[in-house]
Amino acid sequence: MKPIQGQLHLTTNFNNAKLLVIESNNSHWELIQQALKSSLHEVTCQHAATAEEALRLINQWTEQELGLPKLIILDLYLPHQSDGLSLLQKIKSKEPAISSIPVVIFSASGARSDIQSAYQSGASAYMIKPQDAQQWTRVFTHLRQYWWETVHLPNVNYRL
Amino acid sequence: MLTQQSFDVLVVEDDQLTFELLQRLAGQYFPEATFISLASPTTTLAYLNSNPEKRPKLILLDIALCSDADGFILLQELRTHFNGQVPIIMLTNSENQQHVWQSYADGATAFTTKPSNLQDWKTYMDTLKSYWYEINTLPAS
Repeated sequence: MKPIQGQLHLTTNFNNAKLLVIESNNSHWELIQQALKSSLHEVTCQHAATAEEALRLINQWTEQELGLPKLIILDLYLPHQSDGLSLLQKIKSKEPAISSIPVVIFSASGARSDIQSAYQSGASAYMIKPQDAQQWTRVFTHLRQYWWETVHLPNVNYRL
Repeated sequence: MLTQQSFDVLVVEDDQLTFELLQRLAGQYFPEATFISLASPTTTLAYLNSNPEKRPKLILLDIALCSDADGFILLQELRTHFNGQVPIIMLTNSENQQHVWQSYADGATAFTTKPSNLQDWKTYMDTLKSYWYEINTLPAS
């Protein structure tokens, strides 16, 4: 079926949609999973708890030329701020198929310097982690509304 | 993110009607923001040079300005100029995968297409506000 004009991105975004969540804090990962279930259930989610694990997955997908995520959520404190920043810089210095994937930072920190260095290192957006489960769901509803329903996400498997 | 600072949105767009529509909708759905019209790469660069201390919160950038794809050249300049601190959102008529691809590769934050009817424009403005102004945290000016 031919998509309606202006709706093409919905078809493309949700087709083989994968999200990579890099989160070292287990209880936050639990909350994210719950929020994903109610707000972004069509999207396959892959979790990495450390920077090493995330890089291993990204390299594996790159080699297979298949299965790269369309969006990355990255916990800045992984567990230290320097771990998250250095991973972000590594992702952004890779070939365009990887560096083009938008990275949304999730962090408990609202420190001015953290926000500034995240954007400077190539973050697309910066979300301060909410306090309770209901707020997590609200944040993911907006994440869906913007990145999956408004934006044309990069078609990462288009030109590997 | 509630803030007392002004929330400036640069609109780099040669079509005056699109800008007027954005401004009208902003008045209704995003009154906290000030939309500033820049119709060409030359006026955009002149604006940046004459307001070096002023940093907008967001940039909406069209691809086809004075020529077919000069938005891409400007995209790289804006990215460097603001050092990544200002999200650059492509807002264009194109749904061309090559344009999507090139925008992200050249440093765009997001690629969006111009809505095709008034209702969708309202939703676009509403979402722009709820995501970039309310949910997301931008660097302090």
